[in-house]
Amino acid sequence: MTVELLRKPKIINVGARNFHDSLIAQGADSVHVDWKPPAGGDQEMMKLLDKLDKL
Amino acid sequence: MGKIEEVNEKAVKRILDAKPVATGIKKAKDVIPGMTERTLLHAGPPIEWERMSGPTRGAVMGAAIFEDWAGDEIEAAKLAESGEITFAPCHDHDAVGPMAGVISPSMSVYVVENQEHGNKAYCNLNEGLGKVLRYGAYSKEVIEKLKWMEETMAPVLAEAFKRSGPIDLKEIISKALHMGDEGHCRNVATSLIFLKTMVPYMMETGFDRETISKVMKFMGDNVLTFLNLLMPACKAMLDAGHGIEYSTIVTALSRNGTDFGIRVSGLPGRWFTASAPVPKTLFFPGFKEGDQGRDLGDSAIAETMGLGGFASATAPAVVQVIGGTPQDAANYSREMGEITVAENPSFTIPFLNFQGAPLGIDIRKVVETGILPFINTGVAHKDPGVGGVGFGVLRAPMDCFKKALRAFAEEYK
Repeated sequence: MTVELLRKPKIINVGARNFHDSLIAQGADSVHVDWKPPAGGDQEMMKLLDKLDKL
Repeated sequence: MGKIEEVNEKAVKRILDAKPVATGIKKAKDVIPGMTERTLLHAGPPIEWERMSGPTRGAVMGAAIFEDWAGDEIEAAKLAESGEITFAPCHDHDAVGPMAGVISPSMSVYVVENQEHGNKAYCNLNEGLGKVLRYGAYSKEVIEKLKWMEETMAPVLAEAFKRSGPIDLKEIISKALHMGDEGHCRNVATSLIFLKTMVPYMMETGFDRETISKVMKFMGDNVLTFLNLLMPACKAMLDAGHGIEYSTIVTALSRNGTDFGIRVSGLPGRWFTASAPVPKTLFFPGFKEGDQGRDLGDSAIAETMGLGGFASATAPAVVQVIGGTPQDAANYSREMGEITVAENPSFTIPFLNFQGAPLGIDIRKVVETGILPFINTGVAHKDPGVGGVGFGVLRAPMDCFKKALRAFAEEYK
């Protein structure tokens, strides 16, 4: 089973889609998760969202 | 469950419980709250003449000529500049208007009543496509059509409504979503169902057959006849969920061709605005990139209610117009599920296993995910006096939601 896992990895790609596209182009088995940092990384918005979560 | 989730659930329940029915046609000055003899309502957030877009100015000038306040567009423009006309958003007066959305005192409006909660909403009658007032045109033909609608179409329909009783608008929308409509750019099925419903009552009125026939043909030829009933139906439903403390639910997405604005349930009386985007447009023959104006109209009340772009999966034909596939249409509907808090069991999407249309845009989810409301729309020429140039798609601007979130955090410390 360990050999099988090494020969045919199933990949979950999180974040930058071009990694996933490259893997697919090379015949790998990949699923892309369209993840982005909350609020696009906007610190002010992240603080406001956290604050409202506590209401 | 947090306080906001609890309250949002309450707001959405009120929206879902609403029962919008069309009860008749009246003159705007007789029924719209706050309407005066020199008020012109317009689509979108508040805006003054100096900042108005080309099509909105065109519609204002056309309305002034229609009302006999001015003889031509030059006189109308001077009047608009003078400050003698009061401009106000339709939304702030329980009304909605598609595209420029200009409603003048003498125009007839549909009266829609939410039988569950008692609130009402109003909208003018749809003129059809192309060179019409709501797209900023104001030629002699435009004014003549408006006068025909006022003197002939509205009276026939008004008499028909007296005989039909209240027309259930939610039922029509629900059926049409299973017939290829999405309720914003595609209202073919809704319009036909409405016409079919009203024809027997129109025939019972005392008007002669030729007059009734002309009204029926006008309505039947206009694939957007029902848009001007769907919009106040959505407003009546969403207004039932407006003004609820602590709620982050968006109760209006709206544009005036210059600014894009949103209203939030827990922040009543306020608009949060940003520059209106330019739609990605599929042009009618004779028009090209650069002709289009910025996003315009109260018709994004459809998307606010989970229809239009949010219900793209019910109308792949609309997405195809802009080069998309049925799978793209389904993906848009699924994506909008990421920024909404509920599904509407009354408006179901066959292609998605009859899943309810996504309902209850939450400003927090928009800011957190970065996913912006997807809207499809008619597109007007950027200059006054021209008219419609095509159909398009766009995303609401993020700044509206960030401003709303800041204001919400300030209000509810």
